[in-house]
Amino acid sequence: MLGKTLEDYEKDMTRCARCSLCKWPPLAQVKSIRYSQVCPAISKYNFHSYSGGGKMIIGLSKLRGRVDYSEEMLNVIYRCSVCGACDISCKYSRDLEPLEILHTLRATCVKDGVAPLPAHRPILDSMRNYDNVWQQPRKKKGSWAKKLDVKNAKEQPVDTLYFAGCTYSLRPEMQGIARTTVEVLQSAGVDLGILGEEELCCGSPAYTIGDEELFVENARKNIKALNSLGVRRVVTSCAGCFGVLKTKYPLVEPANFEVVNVTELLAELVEQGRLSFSRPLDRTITYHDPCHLGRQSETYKPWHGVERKVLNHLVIQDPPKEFNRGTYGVYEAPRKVLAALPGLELTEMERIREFSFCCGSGGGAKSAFPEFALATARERVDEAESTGAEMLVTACPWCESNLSEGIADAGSRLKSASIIELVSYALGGGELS
Amino acid sequence: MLSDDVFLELQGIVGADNATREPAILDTYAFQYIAELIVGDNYMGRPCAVVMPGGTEEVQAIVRLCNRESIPYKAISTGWGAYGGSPAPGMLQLDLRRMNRILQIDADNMYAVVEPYVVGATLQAEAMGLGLNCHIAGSGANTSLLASATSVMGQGATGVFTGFSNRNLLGFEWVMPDGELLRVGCLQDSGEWFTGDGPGPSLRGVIRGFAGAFGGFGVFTKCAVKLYPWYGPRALELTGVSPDYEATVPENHAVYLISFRGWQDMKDFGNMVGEAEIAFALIHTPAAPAVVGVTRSNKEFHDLWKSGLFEHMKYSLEVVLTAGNAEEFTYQRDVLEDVIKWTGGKVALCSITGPRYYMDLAVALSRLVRQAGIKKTLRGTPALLTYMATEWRNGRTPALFAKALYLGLIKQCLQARCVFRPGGSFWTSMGGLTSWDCCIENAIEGERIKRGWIEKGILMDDGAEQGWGMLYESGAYAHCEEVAFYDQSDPVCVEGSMGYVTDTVKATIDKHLAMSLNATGDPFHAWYSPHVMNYHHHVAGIKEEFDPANLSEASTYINRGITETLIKLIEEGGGENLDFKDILTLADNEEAPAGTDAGRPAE
Repeated sequence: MLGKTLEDYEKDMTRCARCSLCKWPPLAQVKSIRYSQVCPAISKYNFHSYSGGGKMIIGLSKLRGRVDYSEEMLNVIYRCSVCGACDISCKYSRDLEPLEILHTLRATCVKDGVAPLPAHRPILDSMRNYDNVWQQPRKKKGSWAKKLDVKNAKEQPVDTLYFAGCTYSLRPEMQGIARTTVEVLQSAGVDLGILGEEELCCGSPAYTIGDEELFVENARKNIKALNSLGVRRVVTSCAGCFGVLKTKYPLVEPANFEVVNVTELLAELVEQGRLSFSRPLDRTITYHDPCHLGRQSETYKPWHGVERKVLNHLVIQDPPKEFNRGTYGVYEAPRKVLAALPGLELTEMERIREFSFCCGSGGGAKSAFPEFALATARERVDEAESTGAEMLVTACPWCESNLSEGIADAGSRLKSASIIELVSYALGGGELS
Repeated sequence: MLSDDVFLELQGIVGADNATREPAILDTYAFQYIAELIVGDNYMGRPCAVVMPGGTEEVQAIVRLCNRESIPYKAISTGWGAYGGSPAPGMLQLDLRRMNRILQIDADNMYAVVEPYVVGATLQAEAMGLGLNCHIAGSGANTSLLASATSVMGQGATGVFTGFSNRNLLGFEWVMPDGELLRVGCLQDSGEWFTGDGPGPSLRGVIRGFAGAFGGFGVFTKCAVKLYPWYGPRALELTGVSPDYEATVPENHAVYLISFRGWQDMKDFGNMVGEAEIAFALIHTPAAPAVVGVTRSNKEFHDLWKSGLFEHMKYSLEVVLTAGNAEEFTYQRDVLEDVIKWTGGKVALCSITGPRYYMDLAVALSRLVRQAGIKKTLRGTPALLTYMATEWRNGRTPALFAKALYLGLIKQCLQARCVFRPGGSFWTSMGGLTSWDCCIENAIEGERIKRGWIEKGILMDDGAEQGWGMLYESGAYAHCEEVAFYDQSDPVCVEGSMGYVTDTVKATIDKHLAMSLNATGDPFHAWYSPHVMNYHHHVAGIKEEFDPANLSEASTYINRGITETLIKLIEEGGGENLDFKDILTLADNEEAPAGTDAGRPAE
């Protein structure tokens, strides 16, 4: 977590039992041998070091001066999508923090000047120079909304701000999703505004790569800007933005707005009867839980206590620490929305919700290790195909993009789609591929 | 130090991506559970390299290379425990993770052929789909079935129905310490895997004996394990979100938690239920880990535990019934309820629906009150009621606890939570295979010893109540081990915990309580062998015959020279407190280091 050092986690790292629970879904949830792995990194590279526990051991070895940086060690640390599946599987049983340790290990690498990796530098430079991750001029950030009749939240008071995010704003193949989102929400009567070209990057890539300084700088700018708008809530359709706004921003500065994902808002609108679906989809689909919408969307409650021992050696935290175990991620909202769509049948994959298998795109993996990201997407596509679904639906641009590549690479018959596209179609708008 | 040439050769065998000498990666193999008790550090000796073979031929090539170059080696599968490593640096580690296939499930003959990295969770999931089930060791569903069957002990909660791992070992494929391949049992003769005995050589006793060689006797690359009927759904129906999962208890299945008045009733109950052949699982879980298992954090556990009431649930057993039809289930349930009645048991929790939950709970609580005493009850009840109210407010009724208990017993998925969460680590002792009656004596003695080490501040205070025990093969024998929790990051624990093991081992000898379940490695041989016909001569002889160069790393198996030195020390009265750290020193001073044949006795 922000500002922590490996020293802060020495006890946790020492207490890893090397039990390998971090490699599987929580054991109760193993349903077949084929889909019994939950960690993309060790699934591909196999050495124990690639598991969540393995990275904790590397952190301990670094702290104790047993090892020094090497290219191979950095590969192990960064060939990981920071999806947090290891964290959930570990915390099914333990009171340890594998994901926080992995983040701290990366942050240590950055502080020590051995990271970011060369492939990550253009992304971070782009954030510094252009306030987006795609190396695009700032002015282009609002181009996606040019033809929309939507309020500029800087100029007019709005109830809800739509935070489109870099990818939906700047990637031509994704811009339609942002537009559709605005249209759908407006059709349900949501008083919506956007920031257009003044929207800044959420900072998520800097955080996951370990550049805490850049992340905090971005977060501060964003919180200040968003606080000044006086909006009641900020809605995102990018799971990456959602995860960082909701769970990491509170660590930087207090915000005066609520952060919701578009699937939560859609579920609310469905429940209120404000969306009326008339067009049957007549499809069988499967749903991929994005990591930052699911298990990594629990708001982190900063804990500044001490470890205390009772009963001689029972380790407890004083004051009590609330562990994020993935229990309260956003799992139901997208499923409620899908269930409301006529003619749509949802058939679930084996690895879902808090133990969903990652798409492989996150944590800087896609830019630095594209073959790893693609292999991970292929694995997920294979699982999606095994359900018999025609369509792989998700709610994150990074997932959608990487899974689409996986589909193409596999020559799969699957189509990929964003949940908002299905909603729009069922409302009578747009066409599905 | 591995030469570049040899490393290149290893890469040539397994592929460049599957061999490494990177220190950061090697350290993730040196770091091991209980290493601190063995070498005084969280890291065992750092291996010279790690290789990940993809099949038997590659394993053979690696072992032959090790023999040619005199490199000590050891294979691990899921690799959980210091016995997978070596106290000394420089060993070649074989990580068998890539050998992870279920090669065959023969539903008609009820066995499965697996590679080393297949774990209980995966085989069980596949077997259930065919109406079968496998035995999962008490270490949990995350551990290798092959390792459990060929190389260590491997007892688990369903043993009363499914036997246990080493008894379920059928045919196996073994890369012997010199690299030659041997297929054992009927496999050698017929190519089929259905029995570990002939025609063909039956070497089950040789390769594993009582406790197993813990990786110190070549490499096992495939094995067959026996499967058992599963009278349940093809997959359990799960509800909940981590860390709270529950399974719907299927029709004609039931789970019970039964408390007794004392040890004698518990003994009688176990023996009668075993003999009646009605149970799918029958296990005694000590109260502290049981409460850890149903709570989400140590804080939650402590809030509940400090009520002081659960400490008194020491006389309890968990039972699962699984029947193929209603008639059989009625028979099982009637027999069980008769035995409960005859032995004065009270049902604290039962999955059979209806108002009985609350009645059972009330009865169990009233017994708890009697056992804990009125003062403790008055003190503890508010905490207990607060907990129960919170749980019920969150929808966790006794019905859900029964479902969670059923899930935990069937899938063996909560072990790591129960033993690692409290203090960070645990160690276990005693637990020899013996009669259920003797197991209870183990538990009583274990509790006495453990209380002393709790009072010294070395172990976590879990009330000292002990005895993780269960029955096998309809109660023909049983085991009850003495689990103790400690903090591996605390020097006080690291320094002292092995003393607890030493005391319990001595007690098993002094009180004739059967050999400890972890009776392997030179210190254990030195303590036990003089009392058991000097068996170490036989074990060492086998090792030396098959591995004359002593390259299959045997620090947790046997080294004749070290064992005999320790026996002498113990006989002379100076060695009673020796532990593994002393063994390392002794090994350094031995004239016959690993990798030579000088460990052989004088002709």
